[in-house]
Formats: sequence, C-alpha cells, structure tokens
Amino acid sequence: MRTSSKRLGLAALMLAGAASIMPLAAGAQEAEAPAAAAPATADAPPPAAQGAFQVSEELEAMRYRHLWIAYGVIWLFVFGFVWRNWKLERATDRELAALEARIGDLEGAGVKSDG
Amino acid sequence: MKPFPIATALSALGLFAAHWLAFDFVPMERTMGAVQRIFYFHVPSAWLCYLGFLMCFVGSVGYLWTRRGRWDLFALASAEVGLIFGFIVLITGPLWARPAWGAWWRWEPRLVSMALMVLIFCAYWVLRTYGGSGEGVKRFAAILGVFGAPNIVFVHLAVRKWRGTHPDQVVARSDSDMRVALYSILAIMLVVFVLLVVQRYRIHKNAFRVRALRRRLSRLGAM
Amino acid sequence: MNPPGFLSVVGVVLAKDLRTELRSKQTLMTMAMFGLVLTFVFAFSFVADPATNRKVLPGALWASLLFTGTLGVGRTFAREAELGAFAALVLSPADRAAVLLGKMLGNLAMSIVVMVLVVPLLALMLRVDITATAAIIALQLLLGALGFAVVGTPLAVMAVNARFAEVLLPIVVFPLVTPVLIAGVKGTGIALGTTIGEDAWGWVQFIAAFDVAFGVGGLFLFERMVTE
Repeated sequence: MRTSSKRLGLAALMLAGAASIMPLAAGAQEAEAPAAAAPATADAPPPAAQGAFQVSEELEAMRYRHLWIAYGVIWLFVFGFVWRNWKLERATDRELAALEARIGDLEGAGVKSDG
Repeated sequence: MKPFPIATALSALGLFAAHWLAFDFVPMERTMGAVQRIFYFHVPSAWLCYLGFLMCFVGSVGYLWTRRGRWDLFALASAEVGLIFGFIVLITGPLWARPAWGAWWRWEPRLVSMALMVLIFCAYWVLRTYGGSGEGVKRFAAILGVFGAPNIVFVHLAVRKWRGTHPDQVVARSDSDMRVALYSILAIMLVVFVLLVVQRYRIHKNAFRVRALRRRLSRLGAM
Repeated sequence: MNPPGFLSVVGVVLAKDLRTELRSKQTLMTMAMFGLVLTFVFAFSFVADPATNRKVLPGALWASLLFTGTLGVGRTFAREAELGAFAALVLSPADRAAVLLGKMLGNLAMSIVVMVLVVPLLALMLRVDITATAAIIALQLLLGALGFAVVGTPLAVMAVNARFAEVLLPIVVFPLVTPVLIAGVKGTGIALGTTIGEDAWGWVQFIAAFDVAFGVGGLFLFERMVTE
C-alpha cells in the first residue's frame, strides 16, 4: 500500500515533468520574435523606448539553449535524487522486513527447542 | 492514507504549477530575455541550500549537546538535501550568467560563499559516506557542521572586502508578478525540500536499524 | 576552572609536546622537508620575469603554509593516537579546553619554525626582495598560522576517529580556512604592492577576527567534542 501510493506519487511527478514541457514550449514560442512583439508587462515601457539595446540572434539562441540546459539539470538532479531515494528506501524497507522475519524465526525456534 | 504520499502528490502538482508560473505567468524580462526564467528556480534553490545548511548547523549543535542520534540524522539529511539544491544553484548560475553577464563566473561574494558552502558540505558528505559510521565520525561531522556556518559569513565578508558589493539586487527591482512567481515557487520548493529531508532521514534511520538487526542476527547465529 | 589552573595546563601540554618533538623531531623534520620540496615545486611551476614572480609569491607563501600546516596538524594527533596518550589526556581531570589550547599553540609553534625556513627560501628562489615589508608579512603569516592551527587542531582530534583520516583532513580543513587564505594572499599582495587595495592592515584585522572567532568557538566546543 505504502509503496504503491509512493509509486503513484512518483508517476505524478514524472507526469508533471512531461507536462511542464508544454508551458516551456509555449514560452519559447511566445518569445520567438522578442524584439518585434515583446510581451512587455503592463507598466513596462515599450521596447522601442530602449531601442539601443539590440540582441543578436546568437545571444538570443544562447539564452534559450542555456534555459533548456538549466531546467534539464534541475530536473535531472531533483528526479535523479527522488528516484534514488525511492529505490534506496524500498530496498532498506525490504531488508528490514526480511531481517525482522529471520530474527523472529530464529528466536521462535530457540524458544521451541528450549521448551 | 499516510500524509507522506499525499504531500508527494501535492508537491508534484505544485511543481507543475511552478513551471507554469516560471514559463507562462511571468512576463519576459526585457534586458536578459528568456534566460532570466532560470531565476525562478535558481534563487529559491539558493535559499533552500542555505536553509539546508542552517538546519545542518542546528542539528550538529543539537547532536553535540544531547548526543541523540536523531539530531545527527537530522543534520545529515538536511546537509544532503541542501547539497542537491546547492549543486542546482552552482550549475544553473553560470548558465544564467554567461548570456546575462557575458561570463560564466564572477568573483563576487554571493557566488564565492555559495561555492565554498557547497565545498564544505561536499566534504561533510564525503566524511559521512566514506569515513565510517562510528560515533566519533558523527562528532567529527558535527564539528564540521558547526564550523561551516560561521565560516560562510567570513568567506562572504572576505570576498566583499576584496571585490566590493554586488551591484544589482535582482529581487528588489523585479516587478510584482515576478515576485509573486518567485515566492510561490519558493513555497512549492520548500514543500519538496521538507519531503526530501523527511525521506532521507527515514532512509538513514532504517539503514541504522538494518545494521543493528544484522549484528543481532549474527549474534543469534553464533549461539 | 580558575584561570591559573587553566594556564598551567596549557603550559604543561605545550611544554610536553615541544619536548617530545625536540627529542624525536619526527613531525618537524617531515614538515620542514615537505616545505623544502614545496618551495622547489612552486619555483619550478611559477618562476618567470621579476614582476610575475612578485605577483606569484603571496600565493606560494600561503599555499605552503596550508600544505605544511596540514601535515603538522595531522601528524600530531596520529602520534597521539598511536601512543594512546590522547585518551589519557581526555580522561584526566584537566580542563579540556586548556589541553586543546596547548595543542593549538604546539601546532602554531611548528608552523612558525617551518615558515621561518620556507619564507626566505621562497623569496630567494623567486628573487623577490621582501626585507622592506618583512614585518607585516611575518605578522600576517603568524596570524594566518594561528588561524590554521585554531581550525585544524580540533578537526584533527576528531579525524582520528574516521577512516582515511589523512585524506579527509585536508578535504575538510582547506575549505574552512579559505577566509584566511583569501585574506592572507590579498594582504601580502598589498604589502608587496602587487594587489590593489586600501591597506594591508584591514586584512590583518580580518585574520585576527577569524582567529578569535574560531579559537574561542573551538575552545568552547571542545568539551562537548571529546566527552563520550
């Protein structure tokens, strides 16, 4: 019961990871033409007001590349850690149960042979 | 149902919401562009890293004073989870800095103290993983946990004295939507952080019990 | 816990350590030899034109202090562990903080002896004239060595309990003495005129503050560290 619900939680996390790609892609599309139709905030001055700031295509590509790598790393670390912990916890739980059972058997046998 | 799986499922939903906040809700930052979206996970990770190491400090002090195993496990679990967030900070930071500043790294107080903190707690982790698991090692680690925290203050002061203060406070000059997103994501990640600490704590506690039972079993077998 | 008792314990521990060391010269000789080897390593690695040498010297000096210091700190307690003497010290009714202070001062003394050897040699090999600023550099190195002893000694006591203690000790101690390293290299650089900065005294004060903070903290915690 405990492990199955945990597995469910993990699956949900994975799903969230997969689903998060959608807003990511949306974010990328949104900024496809950053100079022309910058989705500026309501109180921000229009992009033309700071026309001196020209972003080269190369830099813009690097921004997206680094954004993707960074979030990839975050996902890798968080889910790698969760995955490892989950496996480790299951293994220790199982070993604990096995050890407890064996000790129970041994002690039970000891009592029987005594009596 | 136990609270842990429910919280896990909730935090999964929360992480989904966090990505929506970071990628859809907040406006595009004008000077840094898309790469600024790293900020919404980078900054909370940094704060949680500090929190983890602060908790390790508290746990270490608690262990030195009470010698209760649970303080030690608390310190260890916090340090491990803090370390994971520290790695995230140190990897996403340069990825952000390269397009934003034009350089991967700057010798700047916050960067250096974060790097040093991660280094100290890497040492802590190495000690705990490869140094053995005796009572003396726990005390050794506790001293490291206690010395580590004030050390970071000194590193910060040293680099500030050396390089001058950091010019831009990103949080202060961000607009309200950005702040809403930042603090919401921080809250979500805090839940994840707590769950991870609880899980690590439980793993270490069970591993400790496994070792104790093995010893007992070998004694029973010898009888 | 009355002050005279405390100081006399410090004196006894320090005198005992120095006497043992003078008899065997084990630690001192290894440290000095290591310092000697390091000067050659640094010389071969960095020697260049005079201006560059002058820039490199602070880093080389402080790195040698750290490396030889680690060796010394590690050795003291390895020997103590071998003889089981430390256990006896801990069990004795003496104030444990006083024992630690004695040990710290012993390690400081060892570092001073080695640095007296290494500093002129390094300056000679890198051909940098440091006589004009010798006093302030000596003060910086003295406080730096104290900072190293203050952080390294309690950790070395604890490292005796761990596996791979010799490897773990530098891994643990180096990050913790980074403030001293930064302050020392910058301060010495300013003294030699190669680093831009207000004045070397600010950095001296910084190291002194570090020494006081970690010295007092270590002494305060030591009782908690060693009692079972």
